[in-house]
Amino acid sequence: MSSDVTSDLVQVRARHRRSRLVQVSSRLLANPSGRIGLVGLGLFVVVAVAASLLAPYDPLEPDYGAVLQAPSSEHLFGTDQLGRDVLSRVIYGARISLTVGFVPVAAAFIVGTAIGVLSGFIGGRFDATIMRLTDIGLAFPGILLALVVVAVLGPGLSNVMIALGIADVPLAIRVARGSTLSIGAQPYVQSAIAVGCRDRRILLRYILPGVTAPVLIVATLEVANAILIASGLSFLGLGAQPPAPEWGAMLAQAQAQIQTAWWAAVFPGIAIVLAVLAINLLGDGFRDALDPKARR
Amino acid sequence: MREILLSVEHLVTEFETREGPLRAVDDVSFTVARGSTLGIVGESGSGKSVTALSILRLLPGNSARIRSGRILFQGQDLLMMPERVLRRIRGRDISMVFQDPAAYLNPTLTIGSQLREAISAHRRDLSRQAVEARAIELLTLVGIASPGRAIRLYPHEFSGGMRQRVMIAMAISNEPKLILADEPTTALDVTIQAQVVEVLKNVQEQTGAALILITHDLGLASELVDEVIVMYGGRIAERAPMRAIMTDPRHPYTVGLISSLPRLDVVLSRLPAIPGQPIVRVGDLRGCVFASRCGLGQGRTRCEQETPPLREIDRGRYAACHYSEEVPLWRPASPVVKKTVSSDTSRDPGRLAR
Repeated sequence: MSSDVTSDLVQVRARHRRSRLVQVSSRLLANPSGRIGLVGLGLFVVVAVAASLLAPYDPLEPDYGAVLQAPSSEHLFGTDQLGRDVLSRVIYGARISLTVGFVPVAAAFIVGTAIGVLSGFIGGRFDATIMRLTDIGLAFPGILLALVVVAVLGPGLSNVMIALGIADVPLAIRVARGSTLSIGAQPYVQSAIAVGCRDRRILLRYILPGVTAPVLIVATLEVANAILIASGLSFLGLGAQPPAPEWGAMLAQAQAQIQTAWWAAVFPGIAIVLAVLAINLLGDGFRDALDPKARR
Repeated sequence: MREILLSVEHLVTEFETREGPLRAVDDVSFTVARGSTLGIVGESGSGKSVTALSILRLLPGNSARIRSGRILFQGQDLLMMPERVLRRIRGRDISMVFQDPAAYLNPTLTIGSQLREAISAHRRDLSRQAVEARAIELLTLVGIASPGRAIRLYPHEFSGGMRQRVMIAMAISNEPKLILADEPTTALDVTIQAQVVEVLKNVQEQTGAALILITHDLGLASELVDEVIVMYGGRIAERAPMRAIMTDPRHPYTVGLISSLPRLDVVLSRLPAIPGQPIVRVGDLRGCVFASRCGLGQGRTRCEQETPPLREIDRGRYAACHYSEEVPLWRPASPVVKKTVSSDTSRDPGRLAR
């Protein structure tokens, strides 16, 4: 009996002491949308990484003997107007879309978080200047900014990524600065100052860990957004250039035949929807898992 | 006379508000000798906490301004010091015990890691083992059982009293010369308060640090301090040795404060209170800050025209009242005494000699 109580206590203690990463991921998995999002995104990542193993055909090689074939056991998703296997192209497209989604957002949020945390921590004129600049940045719609960048640098996927990265920096600054201010006002930060901690230590040990949660949530949702914008720009012919198997570009090429060969447009479209949905669900899951108020 | 450790001179601290500057601390001066104990007593908003936070410049930088004054610590003006230099004083020479240990301890770090941080912030020469040993030693000193286990726990696994002990341990980790304790027992229940007071008393005696205790509780102050400053409306109303102030207050506000303490020797229909609201000082103020609530002044023009200076009315006794000589003769209207309890059951029959 008493040993049961003791072992219960030990378990409670052990639970408290689990690392934060484990805590967050277990809460993420306990959350239905987080679970679905994580599994969904995981599938996309596996598909992207193992594209060359999974794809039954070369995504770029035209086969003029098999143009616009309906889905069959040979071509599960059918073929497009150049006879390329749509399934293979969708599989390779996962690589492009995930790269376009994650790379610019990651870069923007690393830079933006650093600027935002410093801005909130230093305050004063520096903060006011940074905030006015982000106001200007946020006043531009992301897609408009991307159009401008592409117009200046020329069309292409890497230019789209640069544009997406630039567009996200002000948002990252805003989010990071906001949480820096709220954490900075916590009594325990005052207490760390009273103990004589250096600014660097307060930033790294007190502020930054608290800032990562909101930043991660917003960044995840921005990845989905970036994939959507990149597909949109590719659809307009400003992003990925043919013959790259980018989902948006595939949609654009297939739209002329959509009445006769729906499969060439529908499958890349579904891929976009599923990828964006999975990432958004993951973002929601993160929000629930990282929200300290929701903690049990 | 012991050597002066801290000397606050004409401190004025204001907060920016929409209605204009709010004067939280107005012309406050006092000194603290090495190893001595001083209580700063007053109701909420009297400026006592702001005074303490001004000493270490811990006020929120965007709204609070220290308008004027000097705060000399071992002869150096803390207000003129660059932040870098002041940081070396914070936590080493002057440390702070905050009101609510639940909020002032980082919930995401273990007790041990916060304690180690407090130690190593000023002792970069110490090895990991030495810091660890010191942390355990400190926890033992503040009376935490099995400190070796405690350092691995998080604040939420501790009770309020235990957390306050940890705060005290952090405060004394570098053997400070001055401890500022800002309402250290307010967030705790009464039985725990007594224990924490005991811990504070012990560490103060063992480390020989001077102590400034900020509290609204005269009873608590009487257990810990030799001398007391009563603050009202950002100004010092009275300054006197602890014993003298309880038996013989010389400022009408102090009289009100003491008579609003619960007593064990009489049963009152209700607890006496000082009429009116605590003053909020925005804009200019002429006359005495306490004039509108004072039962002694009764609207005498001098009280409304002239700000009473803090003047020495007796040896070691100061009061900021034009009519402080009248105070011993004057008693505020007290509520009906229902019955008198025989004096041998009272806690302190000599208290509040009437």
